[in-house]
Amino acid sequence: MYKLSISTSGSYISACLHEEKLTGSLIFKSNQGSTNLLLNEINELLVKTNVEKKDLGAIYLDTGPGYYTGLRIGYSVAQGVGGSLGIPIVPVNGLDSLAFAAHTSHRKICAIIDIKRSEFAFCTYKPVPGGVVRESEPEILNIESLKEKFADDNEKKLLVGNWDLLDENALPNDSNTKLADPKIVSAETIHSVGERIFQNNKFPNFNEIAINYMREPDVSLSQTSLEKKVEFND
Amino acid sequence: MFKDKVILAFETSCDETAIAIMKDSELLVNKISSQVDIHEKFGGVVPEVASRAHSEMIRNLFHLSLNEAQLELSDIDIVASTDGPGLVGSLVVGYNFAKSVAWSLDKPFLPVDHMVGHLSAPLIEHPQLDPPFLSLLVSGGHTQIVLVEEWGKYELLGTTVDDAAGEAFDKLSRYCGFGFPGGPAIQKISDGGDESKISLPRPKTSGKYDYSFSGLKTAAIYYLQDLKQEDGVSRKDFAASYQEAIVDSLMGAFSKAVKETNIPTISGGGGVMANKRLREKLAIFAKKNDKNIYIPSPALSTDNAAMICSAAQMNLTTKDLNINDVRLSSIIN
Ligand SMILES: [Zn+2]
Repeated sequence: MYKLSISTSGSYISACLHEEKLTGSLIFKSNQGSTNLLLNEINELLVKTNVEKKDLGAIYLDTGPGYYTGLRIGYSVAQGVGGSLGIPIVPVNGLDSLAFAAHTSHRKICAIIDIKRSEFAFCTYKPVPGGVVRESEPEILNIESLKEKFADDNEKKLLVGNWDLLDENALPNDSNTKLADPKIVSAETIHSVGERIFQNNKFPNFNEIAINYMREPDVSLSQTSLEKKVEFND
Repeated sequence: MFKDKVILAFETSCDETAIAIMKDSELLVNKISSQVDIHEKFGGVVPEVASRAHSEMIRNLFHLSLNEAQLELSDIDIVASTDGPGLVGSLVVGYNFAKSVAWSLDKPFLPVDHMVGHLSAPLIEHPQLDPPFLSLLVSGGHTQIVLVEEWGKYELLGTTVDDAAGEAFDKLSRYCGFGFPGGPAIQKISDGGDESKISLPRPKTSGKYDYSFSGLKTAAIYYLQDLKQEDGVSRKDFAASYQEAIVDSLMGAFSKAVKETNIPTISGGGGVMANKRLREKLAIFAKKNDKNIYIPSPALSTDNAAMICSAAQMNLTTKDLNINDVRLSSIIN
């Protein structure tokens, strides 16, 4: 049984296949209007590795945080494929996947993901034998609050994720901080966490899987500001 | 033509998550999960809210539709989906879901233009509809007169230069606090009202068959700003007068186009085509001028996936059609 992992939350669209070990992996730079990219990529991956759809046993899905449209494409493809092939979807938080990829470190791990509009999703982790545990809940920080966060913290730490998208002056410039890989969430970082969740059988039903938007939707229309009092005679 | 096929279609271009299944030209399922309740409190469709709701609903609706049709996944022959125009964040959900279903089942995937969907919607109830015909497509996102010379060959004769007819309804309805969407709200309030009570303009444009609604909207708002209770204008008189102005404008360019092109058949679609007054006037016009008229019932006039089934059945896909005129003029946002 093969597991398909997908990630569409950032500037790259990636997919990989694992049986016992990695069977194949593809990654493409995402671009505007790349609506068909993910499904084409999955198809190419299966063709290249000679794997048939009926041999897929689960989908490990990057449910964000990240770019909304990309997340929705990944979510829709996973639900479409999962629903048609009758296979489970294992949702994986991108921040968790970044931290997990760095779990052999002995330092505290800070995972950062760009969510556009100069805001970042942020979460800290403590390495434990065989994995990581969250030290905090994921939160949204702008550059200023990220800076403050780093300034207040003189623990030895490892930064993973989109730290390379931060201005140099936003990055902590001290000997306690190490800038490390992975810099992006990818299908392969998603797989590592997804596989553990899958083996522990602790994943939700398809209709309980939610995208980690982390922000309420923008509402530009407001009834109260537009509604005027009109003097009808009834 | 795929008359004897089982077609599964998706439509998520705006605020309705819609799925339909057609078998041997018979509509088995036509499901629409409307987000009206969600958007009502904002007085309009909020794109990000719409996209989120589509993702949350689509898979449940998919399983429900198959159950209701009493079909297995393996019974499906063709999968179709709207691929535009519309709200991008909404389109990607239905399109990717649909294409993934087709891919998983090893079935053909047919992308269908939303406007071509509206054009072919009448076929579900009126299979005798045959080109050439002129169609009036009216909704919150588009106001167009389309000449269908033959299936797959379309000419855009007229369009709105500013607001769509549905927007004109929505904006005034919001201004008056009548509710959302504006068309049905204003129609309901106008019941029994005097449509000649208030004189509102019927804007003209320089384009031969083009429309303009923003002047009408502005005139109506100025009128309401000056309105005093002692003027004695009731809600229903105002709503009826405003509705009449929109319907008259729509009928103006459309009837001119029908007469000048001398096309024997008229049709229509879009949310505003569900408006009773517009349907009445079109029917009267058709009778008077001896035209065939094939308008979908209100449920198939508003956005739905059955119309995408209908277009897919005719193999009217965006892959090999020259429909740029229709698409480009009707991008919602
Ligand atoms: Zn429409």
